[in-house]
Amino acid sequence: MKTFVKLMTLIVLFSLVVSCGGTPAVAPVATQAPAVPVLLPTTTLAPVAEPVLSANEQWAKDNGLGPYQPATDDWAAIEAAAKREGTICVYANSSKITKLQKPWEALYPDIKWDCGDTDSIDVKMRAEQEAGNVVGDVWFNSDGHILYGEFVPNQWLWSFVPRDVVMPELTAEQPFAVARHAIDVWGYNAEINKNGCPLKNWWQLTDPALEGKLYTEDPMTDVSTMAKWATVAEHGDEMATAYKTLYGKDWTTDPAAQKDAFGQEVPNAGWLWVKKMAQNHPVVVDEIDIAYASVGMDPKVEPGYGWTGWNSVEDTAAGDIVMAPCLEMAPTIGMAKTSYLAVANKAPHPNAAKLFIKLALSPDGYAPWAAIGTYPATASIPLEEGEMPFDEMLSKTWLMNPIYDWENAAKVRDFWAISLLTPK
Amino acid sequence: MSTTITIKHLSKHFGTVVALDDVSLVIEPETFVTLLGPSGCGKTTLLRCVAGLEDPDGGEIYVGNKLVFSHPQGISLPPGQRELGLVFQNYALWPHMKVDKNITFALEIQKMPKVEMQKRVKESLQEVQMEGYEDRYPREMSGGQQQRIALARMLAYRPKVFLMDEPLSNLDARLRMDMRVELKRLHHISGATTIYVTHDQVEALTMSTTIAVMKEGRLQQFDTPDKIYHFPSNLFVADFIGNPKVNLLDGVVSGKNSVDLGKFKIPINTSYATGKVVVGIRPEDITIFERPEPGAVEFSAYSVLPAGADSTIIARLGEMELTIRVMGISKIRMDEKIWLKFDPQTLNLYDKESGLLIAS
Amino acid sequence: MAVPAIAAQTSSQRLLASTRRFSRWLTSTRVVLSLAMLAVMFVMVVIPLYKLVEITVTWQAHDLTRVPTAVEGEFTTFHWVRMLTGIIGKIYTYTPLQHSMTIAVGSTLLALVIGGSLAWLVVRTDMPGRKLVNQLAVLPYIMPSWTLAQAWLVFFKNRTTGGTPGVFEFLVGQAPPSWLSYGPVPIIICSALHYYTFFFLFVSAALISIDSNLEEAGDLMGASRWRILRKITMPLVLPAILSGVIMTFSKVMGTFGGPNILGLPIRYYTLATMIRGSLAAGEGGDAFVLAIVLILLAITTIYINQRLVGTRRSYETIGGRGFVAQASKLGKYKRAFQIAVIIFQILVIAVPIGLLLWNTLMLIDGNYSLSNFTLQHWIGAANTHYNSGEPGVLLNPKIWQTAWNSIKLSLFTAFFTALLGIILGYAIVKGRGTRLSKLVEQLAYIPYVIPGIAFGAVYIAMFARKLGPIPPLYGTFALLVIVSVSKHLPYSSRSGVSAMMQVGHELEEAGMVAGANVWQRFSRIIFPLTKSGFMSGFLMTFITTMRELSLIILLVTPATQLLASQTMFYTENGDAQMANVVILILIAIVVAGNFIIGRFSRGGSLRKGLGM
Repeated sequence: MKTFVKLMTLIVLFSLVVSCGGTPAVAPVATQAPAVPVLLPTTTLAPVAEPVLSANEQWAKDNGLGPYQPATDDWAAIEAAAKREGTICVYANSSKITKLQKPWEALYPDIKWDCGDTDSIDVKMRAEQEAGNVVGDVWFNSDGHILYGEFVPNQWLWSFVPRDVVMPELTAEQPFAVARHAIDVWGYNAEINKNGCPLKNWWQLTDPALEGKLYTEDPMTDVSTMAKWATVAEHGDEMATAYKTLYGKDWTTDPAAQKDAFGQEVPNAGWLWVKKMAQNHPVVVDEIDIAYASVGMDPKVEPGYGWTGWNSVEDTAAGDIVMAPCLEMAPTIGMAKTSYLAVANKAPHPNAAKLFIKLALSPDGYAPWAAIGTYPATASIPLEEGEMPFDEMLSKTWLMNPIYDWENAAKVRDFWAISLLTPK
Repeated sequence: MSTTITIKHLSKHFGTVVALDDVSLVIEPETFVTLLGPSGCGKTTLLRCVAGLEDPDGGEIYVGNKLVFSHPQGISLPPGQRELGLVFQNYALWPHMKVDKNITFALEIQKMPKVEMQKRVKESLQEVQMEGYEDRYPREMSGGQQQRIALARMLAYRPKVFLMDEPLSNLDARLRMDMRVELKRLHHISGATTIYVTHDQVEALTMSTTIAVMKEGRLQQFDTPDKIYHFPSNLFVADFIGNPKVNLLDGVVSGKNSVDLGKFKIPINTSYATGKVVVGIRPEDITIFERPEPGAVEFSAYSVLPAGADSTIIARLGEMELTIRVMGISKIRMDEKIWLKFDPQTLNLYDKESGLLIAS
Repeated sequence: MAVPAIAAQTSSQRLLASTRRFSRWLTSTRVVLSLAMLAVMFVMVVIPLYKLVEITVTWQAHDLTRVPTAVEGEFTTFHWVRMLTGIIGKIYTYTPLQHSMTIAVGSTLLALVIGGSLAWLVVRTDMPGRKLVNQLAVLPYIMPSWTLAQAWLVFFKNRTTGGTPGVFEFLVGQAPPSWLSYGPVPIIICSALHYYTFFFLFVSAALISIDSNLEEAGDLMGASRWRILRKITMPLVLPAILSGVIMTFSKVMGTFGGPNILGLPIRYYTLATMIRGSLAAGEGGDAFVLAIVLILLAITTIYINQRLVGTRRSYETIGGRGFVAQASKLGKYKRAFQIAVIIFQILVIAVPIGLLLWNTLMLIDGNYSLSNFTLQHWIGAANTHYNSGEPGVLLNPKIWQTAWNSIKLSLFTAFFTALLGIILGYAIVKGRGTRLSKLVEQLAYIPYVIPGIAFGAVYIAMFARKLGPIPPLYGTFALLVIVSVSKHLPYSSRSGVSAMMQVGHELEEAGMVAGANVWQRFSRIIFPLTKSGFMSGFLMTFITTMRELSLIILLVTPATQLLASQTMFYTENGDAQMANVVILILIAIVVAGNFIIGRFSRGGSLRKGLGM
């Protein structure tokens, strides 16, 4: 036993000593702004020193990705190169990816379809990048906060948007191709509430009467739910306005807005909502169960409201359960979760990856996910019948900001955890 | 077959325990040498060192002319290369092999041709009188039978040296007697140099050419059974050998050739001894008289234990107690007065301090 | 005759001698094997441990969002301070810790009572049908520990978590109270019903080995039954009980399945579920701090056990062939006991399976009407309305692949574990008393204290990148095998040592004297003789690997999916019935495997595998 304890102590001490030495995790040097190729004047001026490219940047440049994507796409060349590569490996976090296999094989019979539905894509790709052993060519995943917060600074992913695709929401800060937006909404039991959703304002959710009747996934263990609460925190001003609309007074007068026993401050109305929501102890459920839960099967038991995907409506069409979204909520009817398409750094088949992105952004590529409550990012793809028009959706929902989420999700999580313990 | 085994200054310790302390021994060819001593004396360790199953911390071992172990030179041959045979106390027959496979194991290693092997199996089984047992498993046989098979296994590959580690101690008394006879005959026939370990001194006395008595890792005496029995070189050996035990009496040298034992004086060759001594008297060297006799000392018969061919009598004189052995069934009754006479020729004198033999 | 002294050596001669001795030592079989094992264990055990500690004391990428001035990779006490102090410490560490302890203590006690009583009834009374009870007692251990939890949920689900009503509500008309449906009470009950097998086996073995003379002596002196029990029997059985306590306590502390199913819905976190949750939320530092806390707890438990049991080990009564002279007479209650016990055992096995089966035959969970009866989940064609569009399990190629993965993993792990066991056993036993042997034995013991979930977490970190000559293994089947084998190291070393000790050193020495080299000794003497131990170990490992969840939950990928994790996957995707079908298949495979291997092993058995 003594030897054992000695051994363990040694290990602990050893770790401490070594980490004091501090070998930082593998991270390539990221140059400030990836350099846009500068056209040198032909006059004999002293040559401007070209910024030194990191290995990853060099690879991106060689393969025409990210900021190095040429002004026009030479699809013939890309296709030829992809055929030589021979395979495509896509990491997608949706099981519907399998539906793209046939279209792909119809288009490119010579390029083998590999990989597919994958769990923990960020973990896998992070591992591959750190190991230098890249297998997945394409990131087809949400988790935008990880994409922008961690992968981009590390230069582990490169953007590629076919030049002929019009994607108005892209910015210099957020240049990655968007495959789709899935809107999460508050759902209610349309069978019982035949006159529509009783809720008209997010603040009504914090009503103590609704304690135990609100259903969400567990933000403590599910990052995307936590990111959504973070989004509420981001829109403090709009939440403040909504507060005034419902209660007629300023949000700062709310008793919960005060610093609590644990020293937590409430920076804005959005954070206030998060706190009050926690105090209402929403019930933690798995995603699909929410659809059932928020409606319930026994009309005698008063059902509640569930925060879930708008497109769950179709999934619950079997039987006589009807869930409908609350479409008149102030300040927003819901939030859009975004799925991104990106090419992995040092992907083994970069050109095949480009072809895949092109397919994914086409109507055929969007088709498996087409449903009410899901939106493509390009106006050129037609919407489902009866779906709210794109512009209307944009104005009525909040688009999640991955960078804000990355920077705040951890804080929101701690805030949430502590708020759960504070009395109302 | 003339294989001398030379053991030079072997030392071995296990942690802080000293198992062998500078043991040196030359074992003449074709002799049957017994390593004898109480448990913990180092006899088994010594045997295992010779076999190559342990490595001493000092010294050298020669088998014949071959240096099989040398600590100063850092040499140690593995057991298989020392051309020795070993019989274990617990037989160590491989339980998953039949008798024939047990015997041929070593021969297969030597790549002996099959026909030859079968011949050997037959021969060695004959030598131990276990013909016909080829197809038995060890668990189907009694202890005595297993021991014979173990023996046959050793004999089969005709080693130059036989090593045996208390092979009979797991057998009952009757069987042990029979096996002793067989072993002695086998040794006689084969002429192999044999090292035999036992704690049973009767076994040692009956079977050996020479005996090496050991105590706490040190060699006490290395002599023929006769000499060991009649002239034990120190108190330990004297006490260890002999059944019933030797009588050891404390006394003081008083005058020439006389030792004062307190109750009486005993005539004995005292040689150069002075001061405190111990007199050793074998039980069978005391004569009992049932009537007073000149030169005999009066004792009282404390206990009389007849046992068929001989009888043991415990005699007392005050605090002093003597064990006497007489032939036949004794008629002496308990508490009877008896007179005991000692023959100076048969007495041994030891120095009390060192325990060493002074004169006999 | 005086033997002349040996000539003194020059220093160069001494050096040569030392070199020769050293090289003999170095090339001796046990040293080679020991060193090889040390190297293997260093990679599989020591490095992960070190990595675990390292991550908790360095800045991680995720931390930069909280502390912008941090530099990734630099030393920091941030994680420890955060997790051990203040309200955050309370929420993320101390509360889950308290919950874990509660569950561990409760489960252990309950399992002890159940297992101990059963052992007593079987060994010490004249209850009829004891043999059957004996055989049935082992079954709960074969099923995965979270099977009971899953069945419990099916039965006791209530509206706290929304969703559909459970069977209880359906039958009784009213929802069961939440404290019965979720949280510590059901977790404890389910764990106890799974682990009572340990106590049953340990205590019955101990009771059998007690020399009845000891108790008879007490009896003759006029002591009452009760007094004998207290003062004589109990102390003698105590070491066995304590061993069971330690094993159960450690395992329950680190268990993931039960608390995940029954604790999460009401936010009753334990260390294990909080570790996974933290990892899912990207908080690696948090997760590994908790893992270390768990490890320290395990070490403490073992230490306490050593202190209590260590000195008492000599209580093994020598020569106690134990014949159970005194069978307590149960009199007219005989039959009652027998029926009660057998019903209990059958309930513990059959009811959960029955419930799960019923659940899988419902089209929509919670609708108990006959019109809802279906075989969709078993053999239904793919239908986008159900189960995310997957076909029924038996028709689902993914499931077949997954089942094959599980079987493959279990077979590989069982094989390597048993093989390593022999090697370790040889290295340790042959070198008994040497420092090398002690070191090997101690190292092999370490995985015992690392909870499965922590192991998994660390292996992701470690094997993501190239490690010397080892290529990156994340997502590979090989990684799963390595992790499983590592986790079983303490077990394989223990059984290997006991197998080697049974063989006895003389049998090998006889081989050495006969001139056999290492290979010959291994192949012709050692392996044949340890075969039965090998098979028992094989069987045991096969079973535990098949149903292992905590260890692999973090390491599986769709390509290397296993049955156990597949059920979690389905459950978390809302396809509860699919999950339950997979569980039933898992159980079927395990039971079948147990049967088949038992047939082949000729002397191997689960009991032997457990080391008794």
